[in-house]
Amino acid sequence: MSHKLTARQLGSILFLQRALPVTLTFPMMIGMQSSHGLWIAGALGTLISLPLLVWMASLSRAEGLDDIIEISRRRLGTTVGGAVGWLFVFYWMLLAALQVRSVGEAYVIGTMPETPIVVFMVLTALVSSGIARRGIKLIAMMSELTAVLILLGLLLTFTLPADVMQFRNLLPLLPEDLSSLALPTGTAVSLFLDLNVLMMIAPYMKSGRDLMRGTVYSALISGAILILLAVVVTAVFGPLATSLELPALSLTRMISLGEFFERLELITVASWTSGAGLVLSTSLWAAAEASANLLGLKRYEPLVYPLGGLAVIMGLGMWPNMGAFDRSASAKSGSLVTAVFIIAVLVVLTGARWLNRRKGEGPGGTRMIAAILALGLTAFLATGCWSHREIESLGFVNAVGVDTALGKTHWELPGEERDPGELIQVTAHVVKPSAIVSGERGPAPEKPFWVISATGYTIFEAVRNVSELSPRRLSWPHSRWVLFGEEFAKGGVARAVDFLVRDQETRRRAVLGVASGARAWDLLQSEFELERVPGEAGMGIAMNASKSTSTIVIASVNDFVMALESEGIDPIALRIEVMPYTYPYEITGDVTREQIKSVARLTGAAVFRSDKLVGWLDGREARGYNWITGKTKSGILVIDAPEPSLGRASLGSRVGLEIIRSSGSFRPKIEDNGRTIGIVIKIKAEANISDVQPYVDLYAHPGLWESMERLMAKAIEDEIMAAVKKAQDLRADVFGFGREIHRTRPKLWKEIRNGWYDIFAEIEPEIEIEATLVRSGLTVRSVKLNEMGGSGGQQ
Amino acid sequence: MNIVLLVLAVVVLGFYEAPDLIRNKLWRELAVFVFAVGLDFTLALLMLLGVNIPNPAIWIDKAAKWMLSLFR
Repeated sequence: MSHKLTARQLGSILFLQRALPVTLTFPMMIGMQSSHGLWIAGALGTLISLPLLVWMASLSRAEGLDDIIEISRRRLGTTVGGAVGWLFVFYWMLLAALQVRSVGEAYVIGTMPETPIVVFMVLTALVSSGIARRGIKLIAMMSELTAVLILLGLLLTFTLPADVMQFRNLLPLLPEDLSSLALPTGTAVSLFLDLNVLMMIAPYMKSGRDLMRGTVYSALISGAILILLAVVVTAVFGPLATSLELPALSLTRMISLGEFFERLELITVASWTSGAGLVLSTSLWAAAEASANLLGLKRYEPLVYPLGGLAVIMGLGMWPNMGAFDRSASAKSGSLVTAVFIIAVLVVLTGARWLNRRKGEGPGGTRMIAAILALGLTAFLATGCWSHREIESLGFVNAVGVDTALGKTHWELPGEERDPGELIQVTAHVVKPSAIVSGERGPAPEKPFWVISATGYTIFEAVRNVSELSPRRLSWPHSRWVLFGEEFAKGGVARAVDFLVRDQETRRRAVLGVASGARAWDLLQSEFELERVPGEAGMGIAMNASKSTSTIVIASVNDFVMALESEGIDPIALRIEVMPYTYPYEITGDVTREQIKSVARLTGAAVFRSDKLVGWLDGREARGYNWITGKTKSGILVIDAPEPSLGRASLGSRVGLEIIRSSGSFRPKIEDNGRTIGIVIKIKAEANISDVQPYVDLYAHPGLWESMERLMAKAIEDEIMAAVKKAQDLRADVFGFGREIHRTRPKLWKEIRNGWYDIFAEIEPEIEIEATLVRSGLTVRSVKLNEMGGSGGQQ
Repeated sequence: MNIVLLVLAVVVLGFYEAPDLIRNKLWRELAVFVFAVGLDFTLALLMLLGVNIPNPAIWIDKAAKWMLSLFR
């Protein structure tokens, strides 16, 4: 077996090295005000880095594939060259410290917040040192396997959240201030320069050509991944992108594959961290090999474990918090120093080479030990959970309600006196599995859920106070609803939303609803027929309503917060009413459990201005909103009967149309240099005729198709205008007309943004509707009553 | 407790690496190994005892500030 590495193996090692800061933290984005143009910075960074990396590879190649320590001692003399060598060792140790800390942070932030980070760091360092001790060949083989898996995993992560991507979030393409791209570009370049470890691997390459090929391929693929992540994160999170601590992880949390496959991110964290473990191996190997060279040792192996320990100590001690850690990777701080160092070394060594030329031979050879075993060890890290919880000991929260507090809830002990005005009441709707199971005797007689409430100054405090009352540890990831009481929503929801996006147990995909005329507490008492768990029932109704009538607006926590943070758009949420519910008939038989007392009705939308609830859209207006934003999927439009329709009034005079396909969009129309601002709304809709009351013969009167299409267009326009008028009355731009101007005409937006609500209230939208009737069901004409019976016995 | 674990780790590592080095009479390697483990032990101990250790991250930050100031 050859002791040399192939180009692909080198490429894999380098790819993993560059992918680590992409999959875990995403240092490029740190410190940016907005993620506009981030992908351009990624592309620029790749373009600038490529020649620098080629420079490194060709320097090694020209020096006969010697490692960088050898080269610098040969060119700069033992003293200066040795000093440069030790700086490289320090550099790789610094990288190792960053890498081991990243892995630890990814586990702690992403999955197991209660576990001390040192546990993950020590385990990772142990496994990585074990691999590094067995030589670069083993690292190479394992990297080759892992790189493919990680690449595939990343591509899946970039494509699976397709349903929540809005590529218009990328607009405007350029940030307001182009110079803001300098920092992320610099960070990208300096992270590419971290691939200098290739100058340590060079002696193990078969040829200079392989060295070059591996380097270039890894740079190109890493660059593409970088750009894709920037695009996808911006498309999914919009302005929130820059607020994410672990963007790629947040992205996996947006993937929804089935209802109970909620914690997909565990798999990705495991694969990314095993990649990160290999990167750590590479850094430790480089540092150990370089130190052994510098000290004239025959073996580097005894140094690997102690250096692994040092990496953990440095990783723990150097950055007191995540803020300091993030900054160290930014081109404003640590990365700048390392980048300057690398470029200086390249310049000096190339210069020295020009002055005097010589050649040398490089050594080679490593031991190889079972790769799979070590890979398995890495994966083992992911399964042994410190803060594991057995499913029997969990209480699954299905919905969360947030209200203003009326005082302490009756569960809470009378502790210190607190002003109810400052308190927030959180209500958890916990599923009672024992009561869902229906055995031979039919469903259990008790309610299959438990509603419990507690208060606190912050959401998290209230959540903890709820937890205190629960005999089972409450698990929040399955919560599908976040519900605000009307009073709380009117007072502003800003103090609640941060928790919803910061905490790792809550889901950004949870649907956000506002209880109309009620408290979230009351809403959570409601039940439904057919489905025993109200949260699931509500979700069923929401899905049905959005698919078949489009008269509700479904907004996730992510959508809501995105709108809160964007300029020129106000948030919208689902409106839910609580209705008293009584059986219209006497129930006979054994009803052992109490009847359903109230149900929730999902209809329309709650309109916010900034974070405060200002009003409601009814079902029709909500569909108007859905038309404009292109969210109308289906629905029934009732229009007046067209002329000529034959037949008698008693047959009725309405025609029902079923929308089967539609698209909607709008764009600003700006004239007179920005003095007149309008909006053009474009709708395309296709419908089928679903029921016709009068006698209509489409075959005999082909003109009827057109006249019905005109009526259909009118009906759609009326709905749209109803929504626009309501939003204008409420002075809340829920459609994002302003955001569209911001995206397409950023300069103009700057001038008008302060007076935007006045402009918005005056806008007369131009509506272009292309309404098409496609089919008429199974008949071409209506049922024709025979005239013999007259107009019926009654008349 | 943590200190016990640390001592244990050092002992285990010593038994793992040292015998082979002694057998092969790699004294230079052994010396470097002992120094490196000693460095780890000292740093970790100081950290556990809550002693402030000079932080290279701060030097790097200062170096970066200085470099940035050259551009302005």
